[in-house]
Amino acid sequence: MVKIKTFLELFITFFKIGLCTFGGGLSMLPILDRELADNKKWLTSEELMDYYAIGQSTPGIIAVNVATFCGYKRSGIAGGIIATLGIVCPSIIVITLIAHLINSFNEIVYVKKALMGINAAVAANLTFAFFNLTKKAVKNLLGIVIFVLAFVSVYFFKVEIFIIVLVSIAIGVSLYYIKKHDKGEEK
Amino acid sequence: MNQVSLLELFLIFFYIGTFTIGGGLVAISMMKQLIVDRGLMDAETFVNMVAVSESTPGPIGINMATYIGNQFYGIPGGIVTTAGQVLPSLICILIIARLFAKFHEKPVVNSAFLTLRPATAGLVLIATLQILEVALFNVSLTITALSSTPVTEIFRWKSMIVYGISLVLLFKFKVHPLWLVFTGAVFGILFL
Repeated sequence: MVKIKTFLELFITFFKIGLCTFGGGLSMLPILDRELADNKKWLTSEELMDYYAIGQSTPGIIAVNVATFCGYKRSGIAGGIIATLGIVCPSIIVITLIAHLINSFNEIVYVKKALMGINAAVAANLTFAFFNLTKKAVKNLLGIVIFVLAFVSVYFFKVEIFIIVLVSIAIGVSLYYIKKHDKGEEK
Repeated sequence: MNQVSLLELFLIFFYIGTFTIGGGLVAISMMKQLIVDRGLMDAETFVNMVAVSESTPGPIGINMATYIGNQFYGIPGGIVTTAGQVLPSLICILIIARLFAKFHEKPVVNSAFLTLRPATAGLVLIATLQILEVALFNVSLTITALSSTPVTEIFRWKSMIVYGISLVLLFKFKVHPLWLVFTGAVFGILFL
């Protein structure tokens, strides 16, 4: 019974998030951070960032990848599948309705107006989430350097994101072995 | 319109789901290649569908998958294409999540994520700037006629006010982001 309750809560949570996500996967990051990390404490903001880093550099839709990840963290493989169903269901329902109801694309003018308001709100949400997460993620000089380099290379030089992810991981791994090696020599 | 079978549609989207890295927008360019460029759908319909998908609830990539399936085979079509799109990443992420849960306490993995997080923060900043651009500025104006347009038309004043108020509500009063999305939609329909 407890399991069913957990699954139901997981499904409803991601259904709600799917219903309030517009555009790309990153626009749901602020909602996830508030809902899953702050309110429900299913995971930490740092873990959420790790999921995004992995979700952006593995196959598939980022929003779905992160949902699967969060669901797995909450209750294993079944949790991953249920969270994925939750995030996908609103799309299936809404788009199916639209496909059957809309005869001409001019009818979506109100949808477009709503979207302009939503975009302004999402922009504020992301700005807030950005400050929140950066405070937790960038903690030293090396962090600042990696932050700036990642930003500049993707924003200005259009470097592929998965390359940034791989290089950052490589730096972390090498650093670990360098430190370990240094300690070894001290002995 | 049905020159493609339901099974073929499933395989097309399974293929897209397997080979898109970088999310919905990459998936959409692959959909164009495999659906429009092969003559299964005309380009104008496709562009309109993208417009609908980005302005309705749900991740844009999933909306497009559902929409295309619906065009060919109604509700079953939408479910089949969405399943095809999602299945590869579902399997892939479940495996990675398992490994992640197993290994993330290891110091070397921990060290890797410590350097990865600042990079992720950089990527979040990019997403933030991109949405700010779309939400608060008339991007098409700034590109085509920067010199001749009055400054007042480049800025979306009303959206900027919504943005400013939302920021105050978030930083000062910790209002839930979901509420802001909802009020943003209502405000947009009434005033924008």
